Amino acid sequence: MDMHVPGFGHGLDEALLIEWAAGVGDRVERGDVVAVVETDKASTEIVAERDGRVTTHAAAVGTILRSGDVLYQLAAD
Amino acid sequence: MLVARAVDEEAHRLQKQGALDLWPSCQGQEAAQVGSALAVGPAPAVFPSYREHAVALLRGVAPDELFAQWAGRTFCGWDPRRLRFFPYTLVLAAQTLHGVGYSIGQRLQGLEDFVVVYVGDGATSEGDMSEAMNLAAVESASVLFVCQNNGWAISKPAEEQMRTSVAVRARGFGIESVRVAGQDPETVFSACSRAAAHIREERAPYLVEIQVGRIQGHTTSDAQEVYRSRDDLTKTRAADPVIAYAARLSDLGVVDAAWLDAVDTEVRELCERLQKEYA
Amino acid sequence: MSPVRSAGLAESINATLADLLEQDPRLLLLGEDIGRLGGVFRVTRGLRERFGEDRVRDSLLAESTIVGQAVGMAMSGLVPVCEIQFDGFTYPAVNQLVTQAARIGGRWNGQVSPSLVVRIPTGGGFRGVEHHSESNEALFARYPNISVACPSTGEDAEQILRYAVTLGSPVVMYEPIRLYWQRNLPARDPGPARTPTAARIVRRGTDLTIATFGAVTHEVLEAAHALSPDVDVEVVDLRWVAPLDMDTVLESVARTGRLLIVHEASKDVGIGAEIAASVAEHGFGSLRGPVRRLAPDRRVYPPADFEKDYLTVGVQEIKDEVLVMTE
Repeated sequence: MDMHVPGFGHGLDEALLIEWAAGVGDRVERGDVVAVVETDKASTEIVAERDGRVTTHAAAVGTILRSGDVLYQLAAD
Repeated sequence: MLVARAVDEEAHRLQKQGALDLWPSCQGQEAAQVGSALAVGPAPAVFPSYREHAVALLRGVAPDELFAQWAGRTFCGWDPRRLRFFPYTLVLAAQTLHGVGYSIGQRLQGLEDFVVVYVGDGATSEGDMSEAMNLAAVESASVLFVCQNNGWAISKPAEEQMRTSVAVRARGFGIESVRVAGQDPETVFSACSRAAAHIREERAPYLVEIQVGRIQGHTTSDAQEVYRSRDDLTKTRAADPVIAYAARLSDLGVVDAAWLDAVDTEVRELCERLQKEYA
Repeated sequence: MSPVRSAGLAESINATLADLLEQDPRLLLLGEDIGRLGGVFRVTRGLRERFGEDRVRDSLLAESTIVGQAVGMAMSGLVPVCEIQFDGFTYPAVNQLVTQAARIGGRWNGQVSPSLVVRIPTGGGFRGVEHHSESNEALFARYPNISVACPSTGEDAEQILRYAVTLGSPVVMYEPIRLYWQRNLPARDPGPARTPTAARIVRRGTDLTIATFGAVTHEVLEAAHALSPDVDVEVVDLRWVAPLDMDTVLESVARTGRLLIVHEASKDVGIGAEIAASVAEHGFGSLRGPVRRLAPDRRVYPPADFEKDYLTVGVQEIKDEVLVMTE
């Protein structure tokens, strides 16, 4: 299933993708860090919203993410 | 003290004539004001409340300049910058934060940062007073808080305003403090001299709480007979610091009748000039 | 017209403050968490490292303390630029601003001219919790000697700040939170303002004038662009709500004959009411129809789930209002 870039609060809707913490094929549990991003405010982590296996990265490191865009795909257990 | 008393009494007469709109009396607080002002000397900037008339006169404010705002001519009748006696502030305790901020600002610029802030007991209930004490403490600002506790916030007696003295409260903020009787200017002078030395040495704030009597009402608009007992008023007048100190100096032979007569003449001329200006 | 990508408001203000700190040794910044953290919105990011903790001062968490000590600092010859963390936390500082900062110039018979600036993040639309989405500029607009600026772009914020630190009386500058990091904004006419305090005509038009300010200026522009060419809307970005540049508004209304005022703060006794009254007094003869206001009703800013119902100043509502007025 498609997992989306969340909102970052206070009207922040963009962030720079710094690093994928969960690689394609990795299994994640809800709350695990999937990616590290940098907003205009601070460095922050995007965490898994549910358990599953990461099947696709939809963005490359160094690109600007927008809230609501697809970030990665997850296969539920 | 005698001049301040005479000026204060003239203000009452002029107010009764309708020449002044209002007058907040300092009668009963002269020893506290003169003792504290002489102890710190002319260097510190003074942030008064609005009845520090004796301090004003010592700083060089002319009596007619002092009256100007109470006659509706201006918000400040003197030159605050030159005299380092800043304008009266009528919103209670607002000046306490200005004083601390000024001291910090002066220090940042390498200038004289010793500041004296006057406040009454009533104003210590304001949040700004607590905020100013805390700010002065954490910034270690060179601020002398002088609280003249005249026992009344208009009609609210001090014992209904606070559960500890203001001096004890200051210590809760980490500010050294002392509480002294305000009848004798020499007692006040000594306490404030020690406080000033502490501020200069430690570059930290200090609070002196001075217990004074309030002889007149809060202002000329106040009717203190409504809420104060005859007995209380009699006792307060009997403890008049001006009369007591003049008597003491006479007894000690420091001043004689001729000196007192000369002061009498001086204040009579002063009052005549004030009448000419305002009546 | 396609959107234009520009520096965010936070970035512009940061650069301006850095330059002002560089230029004027009397200038200092004062506010909650503005130093180590760089401010909750990072507007002052990096400034403490660059200019030191004496000049970029992490204040106590007390708004009266911030403005009260700034008044004292101004008396000592400094130029304090304060930050209040959120609009809704301004109220403890109101006494110091209104009865003190605004009045000491007069009380000192001109011997003190406090160039004291208070920056306040403002406005809603970002799912803020209680007190974090307010717009209280009209409160200060009522008081003499307080100037109130509401920039809608980083460029205007820069011009306003540079002017404010030289003015000699307090300036409150409202910074729309939702513009801090917004980089894609509707295009606007690039014409410069006549003076630092003048309004700016950000879109020329012939059919109707919209006077507005702050974040919602962008919704107004978007609506105006969308309505073109059927309705040709002129947009006046007031930039300051006190003093108001009524000359620019009246000149615009004289050309278009219609006036709509749009703002995010509630309507009653608001900036829009003042503008409408002034136009009724001085520009009635140019009007082809009644002046109207589009602004939220007078009620408490609601919990985030309901803010869309409260903020009745979206692009669609603005378009609808214009169409009603020009049909």
